Amino acid sequence: MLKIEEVRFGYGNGWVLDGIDLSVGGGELVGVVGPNGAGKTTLFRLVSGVRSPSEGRVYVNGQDTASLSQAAAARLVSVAPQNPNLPASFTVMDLVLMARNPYLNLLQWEGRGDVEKVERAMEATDTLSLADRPMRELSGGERQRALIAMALAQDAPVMLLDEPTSNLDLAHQARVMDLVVDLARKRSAAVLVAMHDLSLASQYCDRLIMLADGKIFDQGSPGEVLTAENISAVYGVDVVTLFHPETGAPVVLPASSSDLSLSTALAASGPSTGRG
Amino acid sequence: MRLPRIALAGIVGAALSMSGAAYQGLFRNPLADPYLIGVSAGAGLGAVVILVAGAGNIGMLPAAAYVGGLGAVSAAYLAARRSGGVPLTTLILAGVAVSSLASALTAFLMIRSDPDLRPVLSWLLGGFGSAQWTHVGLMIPYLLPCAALILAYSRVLNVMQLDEEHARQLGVNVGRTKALLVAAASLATAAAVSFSGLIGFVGLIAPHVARMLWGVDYRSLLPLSMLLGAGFLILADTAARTAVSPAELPVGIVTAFCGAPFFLYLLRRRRVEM
Repeated sequence: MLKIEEVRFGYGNGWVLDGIDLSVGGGELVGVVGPNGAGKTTLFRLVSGVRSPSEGRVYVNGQDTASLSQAAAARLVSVAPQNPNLPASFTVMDLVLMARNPYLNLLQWEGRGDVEKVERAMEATDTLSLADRPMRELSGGERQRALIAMALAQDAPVMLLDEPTSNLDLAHQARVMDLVVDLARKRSAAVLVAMHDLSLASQYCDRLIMLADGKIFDQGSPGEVLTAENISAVYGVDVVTLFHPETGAPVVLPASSSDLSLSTALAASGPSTGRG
Repeated sequence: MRLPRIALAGIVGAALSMSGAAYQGLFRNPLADPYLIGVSAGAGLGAVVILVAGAGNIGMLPAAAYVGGLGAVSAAYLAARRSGGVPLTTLILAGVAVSSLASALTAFLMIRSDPDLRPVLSWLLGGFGSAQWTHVGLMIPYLLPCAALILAYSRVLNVMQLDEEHARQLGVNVGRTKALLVAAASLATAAAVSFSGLIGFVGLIAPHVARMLWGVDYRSLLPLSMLLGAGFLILADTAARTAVSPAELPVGIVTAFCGAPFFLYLLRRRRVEM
């Protein structure tokens, strides 16, 4: 569904992305992890067609996104950006309706079908009750859900979510991630989600891509990717990994020098692979 | 007898308000107004160049004003733009600088030329005292295509209230939209300036009142702004004609009396929201 081939890209001095190969199938939820500046947001820009790769190609459903019009690209790829400015006086409904723009020509307004799609997206994200509330009145979690409702209403086979859980409390993090898993499964969309929280990514994603310096450092199941060696090499920090007692997915914590021996022992006693 | 005057005031009010609302939406800056961002002064300069050169054909005025207006708004925009938008106050400051430069050039041209320039001077201050049906007839072919284009883009203007990259990810060709709408709003302003001189603050007041009455959706905001702007300028012109009767005030003075305090009030408010 999404296929990235030999992609290189730079903003002027040096490559920000340097030889990315990646494919994501329908119904798959793939986490993109890596330190700040590793190229996560740039990767999303290339996939959504906002930027064109300097070398290589991005295909969605076999179509090269760089060759498409902005509207055609928006019908294939939807994006929930990280912390965007949203017009404070627009209501949630106004905002989610904007997601139908790629399907409308200049003189068309949203029709019945568009409104139905928007309402379904708002139902799925539990934002229908917020429909008439202006953006300035929303909490962080509500804002985040409104953004995901927009990406959903855009109805594209590939969805990109940039840090959807940043600034959320634990309950909202879990709610948003449950929603994202559900979207990938029910809509069989290819979902890429950029995340800073490695443990959260590990719990929910089918597969992780670890980016470092514009290259894919490692990829595979969370258990394969989130090893102490990988994290130390990419983030430059010593960590211990424990394992979730039910799912077996790794949980990553910074190592404190005093009880390293204990945590290493704990880590060694857990299962060695994550969930598939 | 006053019918052409009322008609021209209404059309000019609608044109300036529509342009103001369009600039506000494009620059995501609620303080944008054709007068405040320098378009009007640039258009005035363009028109004065033609008048001073003695190419007395009134039909040529809008074209010359258009060149001046577009040049001014481009200069102000390029000076004020930062990544991710055009900050509120920077655009106004750039507009003030561009306006001052254009006004200085205009004054220079007038001093250098033929001594009897009182008609040009009173035209520059803004007024409808010499309005004729011919002016209305010349104004409409400029205004109609601009209004059609801007109204057609009203739904897209809503999407343009998002971050530029976000709007592109929702399928908006941001570069083309900006170029087309700035061109249309500047042409409408230039035509208005050509037939009525420099009239400030109409493009600021009408869209703001429309927002307060009817909300921020550009599909209703644009037509409502045009109606309010037309009504406001007709009233302002009536005041200009009657306030110190039998003498007459330039209508630009009346709109500045209402508009400048309103502008200061908007500036004072902590958060100016779109």
